[in-house]
This record gives sequence, C-alpha cells and structure tokens, in this order.
Amino acid sequence: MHALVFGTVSDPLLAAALWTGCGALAATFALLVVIALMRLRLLRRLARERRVAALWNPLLAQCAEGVPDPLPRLRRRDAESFLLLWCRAQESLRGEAQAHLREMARRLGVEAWTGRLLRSRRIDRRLLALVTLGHLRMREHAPWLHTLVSSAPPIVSLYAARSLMRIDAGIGMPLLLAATARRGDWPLAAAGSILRDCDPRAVAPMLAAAIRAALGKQDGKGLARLLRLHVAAHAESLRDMVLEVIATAVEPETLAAALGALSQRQDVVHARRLIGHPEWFVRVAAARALGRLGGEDDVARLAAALADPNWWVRYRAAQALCSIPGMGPAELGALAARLTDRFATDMLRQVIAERTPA
Amino acid sequence: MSWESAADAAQWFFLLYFVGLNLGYLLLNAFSLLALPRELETRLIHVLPRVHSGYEPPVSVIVPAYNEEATIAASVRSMLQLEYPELEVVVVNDGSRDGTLDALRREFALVPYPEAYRRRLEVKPVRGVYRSTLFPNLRVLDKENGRKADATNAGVNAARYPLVCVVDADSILERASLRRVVIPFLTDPHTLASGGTVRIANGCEVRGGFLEAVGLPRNLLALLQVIEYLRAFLFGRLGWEPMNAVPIISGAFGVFRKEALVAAGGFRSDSIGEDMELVMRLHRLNRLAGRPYRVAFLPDPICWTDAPESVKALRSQRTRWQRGLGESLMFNRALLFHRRGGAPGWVMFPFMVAFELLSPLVELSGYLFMTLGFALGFVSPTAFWTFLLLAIGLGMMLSMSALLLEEISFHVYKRPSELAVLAAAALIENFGYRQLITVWRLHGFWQWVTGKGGGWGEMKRSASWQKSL
Repeated sequence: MHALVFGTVSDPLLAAALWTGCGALAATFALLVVIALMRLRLLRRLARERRVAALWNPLLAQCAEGVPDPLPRLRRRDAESFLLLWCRAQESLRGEAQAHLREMARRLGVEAWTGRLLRSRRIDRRLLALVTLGHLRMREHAPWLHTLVSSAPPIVSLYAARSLMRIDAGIGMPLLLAATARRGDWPLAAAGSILRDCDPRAVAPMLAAAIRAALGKQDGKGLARLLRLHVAAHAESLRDMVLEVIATAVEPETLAAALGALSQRQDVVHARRLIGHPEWFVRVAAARALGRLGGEDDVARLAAALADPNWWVRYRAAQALCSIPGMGPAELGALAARLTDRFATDMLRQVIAERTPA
Repeated sequence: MSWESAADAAQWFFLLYFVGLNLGYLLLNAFSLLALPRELETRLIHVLPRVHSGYEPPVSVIVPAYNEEATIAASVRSMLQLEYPELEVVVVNDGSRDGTLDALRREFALVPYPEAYRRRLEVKPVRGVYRSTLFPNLRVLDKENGRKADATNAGVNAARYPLVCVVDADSILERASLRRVVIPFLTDPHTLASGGTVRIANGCEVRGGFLEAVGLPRNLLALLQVIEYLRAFLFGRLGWEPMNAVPIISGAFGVFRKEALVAAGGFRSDSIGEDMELVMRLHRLNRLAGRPYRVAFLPDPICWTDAPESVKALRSQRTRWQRGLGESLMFNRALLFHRRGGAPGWVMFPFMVAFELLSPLVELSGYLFMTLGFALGFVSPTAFWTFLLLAIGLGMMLSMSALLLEEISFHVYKRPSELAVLAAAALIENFGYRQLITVWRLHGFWQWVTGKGGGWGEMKRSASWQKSL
C-alpha cells in the first residue's frame, strides 16, 4: 500500500504526516501565545523593578547619613530586587554608611529573606544570598560558609569565600589559600581578586604559611598557584618563604612562579642561576626577574638570552635590558649594533622602538 | 524494481528524512532549553561584584581587513574602547586595493615599527609593521593578499598575548563582550575556544563602532535573517554546548587560546569556511589525542554584524557557507565515528553531514518529487498538501521556538511591536525564503562537490549603521 502515491487520508503514513503537520501548526500558535504572555510578564516585572528602585534607592542613599526612620515594609515579591539594590549600595558606600545599611537590613528582616534565597534551587538567588550574607557580617554564618568554600561548585564556593572574608578575614584567608592550592577548578584570578581587597601585610604571613604547607606536602601544582598570589602580599614579608622555595624546588612551574615572586635586588642571584634553565618558561621568568632586579652585571647575560631559540625569552630579555639602570637609548643602540645574531638584533630593535616615545 | 516500488521507497525516504531532520532540531532545541536557564542564572554574576575582575588574561584582538576603507577606523576605535584590563589590537591589512592602510595611517598616526616578526604560522609576506603614536596598544601589519585565514594567521604570529580574539573588521561589539567571552577561559583551564551569539546589526543605531540602540531592519531579507540567526545561534549552537560539540565559533567574533591555535596549524587558507574548519579541527585533534578540552559557546548577544540586503550578496554568502561546510567536514572526516570521537564524532559530525550538508539536496529533491508527482498526477492532492503542511508547519514551529528562546533569554528587541514583527517574520520566512536559501545552499554544495566556484568574492556591505556615525 502506498501512502503518498495516490494516497488518501485513510493511509496510515499519510494520516500520521497530516497529524504531525497539524500538530506543528498548533504548536506554532501555542508558542506564539506563550511568547506574548512571557512578554506581558516581563513588562510587569520591569515595572515592579522600577517601582522598587524608585521607592528604595532614595532611602538607601540616605544611609550615607543615617538609617531613615520610619522604613516602609519590605514586601515579599520585592525582596529580591531590594537585595540587589542593597548589595550595590554596600559596594558603592564606605565606612559608617555600610553600618547604616546593615542596620537598615536588620530592621527590614533581610536575614529571613536571605535564608529563603539560600534554599532556592536557582543559583543566581543563592549567589545573591551569599553576597548579602557577606555584607551583613553575621559571624554565625561562618561555619556554613566554611563548608561551602571547601565543597561547593566553583562559582558558589568563590562567592562563599568572598563573603567569609568579609565576615572574618582571619578565618577566611587560611581557608581561601588552602582551597586555592587544592582546588584546580578555582580560577587563580578569582582567588587573587578576593585577596586584593585585603591588607598586603595581613596576607603575607598567611600566604607564607600556606606555601610552607604545600612545600611540606610536595604539592608542586598548589605551590605554583600560591606563589602566583604573591602580588596580593607584602613582598618583604614573603621574601624568606620565596627564597626557601627557589632554593629547594625542582619543578619548572614552581621555579617560574618563585622567580616571579622575587622582589629584592640581593636575590637576583637566583635569576642569574636560572637564566639557562632547560625549560623556556623558566628562562622567561628569569629574564623578567633580571629586568626587575638586575644591574649592569647582567647586561651580558641578557644579551646572550637575546639569541635564545624561544621568541618569548628573546622578547623578555630585550625588555629586561631596557629596564636595567644605565641602559639608555644610546647604550641600547650600541648594543644592538654590536650583536651578531640577527634574531637578537631584530628583537632588541623592536623593543627599543616600543620604548621610544613617538 | 517497479516504478511503484521506487516511488514508494522515495516517499518513505523523504518522509523519514523530514521527520529525522526536524526531530534533530527539536532535540537541539530541547538541549538549548535545558542549557539556557543555567546560563541565565549566572547572568546575575555580571551585576554582582565580580569574582574574576582584575586577573583576566591579556588578549590580542586581531582584525583582518580587506578593502574596509569606509569602516575600518570606527571598527578599530571600538576595539580600542573595549572594557578589558589589558588588550592589544593587531589590524592586518590583507593587501587591500582601496585606501584601508591610508585610512589607518591617517586616523591612528601610524609610524613604521621594526617588529621582530615571528613566523610560527606560514603566511604571505608581511610588507611592513606599523604602530600607532596615539594608541600604544595598536599595531598594523601590512601584508600581501592571502584571504582572511592568511591575514588572521599573520595576526596570530604577531600577537603577544596568550589569548587571541579574532574579529571581523565590520563587527560591532558590545563594550563588555570581550570580558564576557573570556569567562570560559577563567573558569575552565581546558577551554581552547569561546564564542558568542552573533546578531544582525541592520536597523540598529551605532555610534563610534558601538551599538547604541537595537532595532529591526526595514529590508525584508535582513529581517528574515534575524530569525535565521536566532535559530542558528540559540539552538543551532547552544544546543551542542552541553555535549562539548559546538561545531563552529563564528569568524565574526571568537577567542582562542593562542598556543592551541598555533599547535593546530592556525586557520586554513585553502578553506572558505575557515572558522568552522578550525573548530572542527580542534575537536578532531583533541578528541583523537584523548586530550581534555572545551569549545565554549555563550548565548549572550555580544557581536553584531552587517547582513546582506541584496539577493545577490545573500546568494553569494550562502553558497560560500555551504562550500565551507563541505570543506570543513571533508578535511576533518577522520573524526566521523572514530572510537575516540565522543559526541563530536558520533553525534555532531553525522548530524552535520546528514542534516546540514546533504539537506539542500534531499529537501529540494523532496519538493521536486512531490511537485512533479502532483503535476503529473502520481501524487494525490491530499498527499501533496499534507507534505507541504508537514514541511512548512515544522519549519514554522522551529522558527517560533527560536523566538521563544530569545524571549526566555535576552529579549533584545524591547518594543512589543518589534516582537510582533519578528513573529510575523518567523511565519512568513517559511513561504519562499527558506526554500530559496535551500536552492543557494544546493548551489554551494554542487560547487563543493565539483570543486568549481570562485573564491570569497567581494561582499557588498550595506553598512547602513555606519550612516549614523
């Protein structure tokens, strides 16, 4: 039996096709209705958000001076929009104003709303709740945030870590550093961003302790990750730990990270020692360190590195030469003229041009 | 085989193919519907204090340009104003025959620069390197013409930073687009490439290379392409994301890990669909080597592009895309059903062959078979109209579901009247437009099979948005 050829609707295949086609048309128009309804809902939501902003933004601004009194009642359906405005105000205001905002939140019963959001299945609501908890600075939430930092998915754990740091940096920082070393799923950038809000002098001893722990565990990857956070710490306070690592480490990643953390001129010996390392990225780190810490004695070393087979080593060596005290345009030009390796000359000329104001 | 048996087999084949094709797209739609809410939930992160700020890896933005005299200055200015902590812009003038280089020299006060140019990827000779005296992070490479892929590779050679962002010279970006598209590299160290949704810029207001206001195009062809792009990006690509099988990162705006790009051999100059070919190659090389990797796709509308408004330009674009698809699949055929192919080799690749590469051939054959059968009397009117109802009904449903995804997610077109126009476009595109596109795709398929057909051609851009500069 041929369903299409000379077919009629009584043919099963044709009937199925007909019903599918009709079903598709019906679904199309159902989708059209759904889209229209969603647009209506969106317009209503936007109107509500505008209304919430119009009501609460002036009151949040008044918190710069003191807590407005009386406060309107916070309606359940407005709670999420309000919390977003409140968190933004916390980010933009400083000092006493933040305390006023916390007092305002306490009077409005924000903690209860936050608890509800934390139990939500939606990640955006949970993140909003975590940020709010951090701004509320309520220490009783610290143990629970502690658990989240250790075990929650990356984005949730990072927001939990930031909030924990806000509540109590003394508890939060060792945990943040331990998690940074351990959690390969944490972007280093995120941990660094959280640490940047702290006093570098407070970061240094805790970072040193975390580095020591990683060294003890011979955790090369964790060690390299922690060393890269050195920019958030007071360099002098971290120095001894960095020297200990660079003297004992053998893993190239660790050595490169430690070279990046060198900060004192007297430590340049390590960069000199490692400029001939077999791994190119260690040589790059050594060249950069020589640029930061080196002197006239290092010109010959860096000139030799200009002929390195790796482009990046040549480039960083050329940049380092330009940073050496006493290496002005005339000296660099003379050095470029003396070089016999074409790649070395090209690279030095490029970097001289980069440094020359147009 | 009798004539009747052959006709019977043909009807079964066409029906099953249409059902399979639409079922495939419906499944992709379902995956997108599952993936989209997760993506949207994390959008609040853009509003909350950011956890990544300040440590983003530096990015080299590469802008290959060929005969872009009219638009290049505005485009480069917009790249220079992207919200990003550290970026450099490398414009590659690919042997333009117009005044592209002069426009760049004039606008950015270029001076020659003795760059130690590193040839990691083979490219046509570089005639000169310039740097801007106004913007220290802008360099211009002037090279012999070698097509977009060659120009992009030349830019990759000159790039200083670990991530390279490839941008079409006529792309319009949102200020935050680079920051957003880089997030997958921060959250997953295995990310090799990341791209986002490309939208149609025709009808929008653009100032200084940035999008100021979203609008719908007045030109019907461009309007219908708005729906097509929604379909292509919101489920044609987002649907593959959860399987890590995104088949293409648009050449209009994509970010790549430079070392992975160089290790893969860069963009292929002998491919007309070099953006898709590269992503397919990344899948093939990494899958077959058993290396963990990710090709990420963000549904955020981060890049806007000029759509062709004339029949001729659109035909040229679509035939070219189909040839590019054929080449990309052929060059990477080792991925197909490879034991280590995973979702890209076992799901995405066969899907692309069956429902993207061959679909113009089968679809048009189906239409032809039914129309001829109807005209010659061996297909009953009931069967003919049922077939049309099925084909058009499913097409309308898919277009409308793309519009639904848009409404769930970004509702970029704010005015209710715009939504109504889009809904109408989603319906009417099924009456002629899609069939016309299928004809052009068949032409492209034929050109690929026979190895005939020109190169890129020179796309005439309307760049109507430029008038508002």
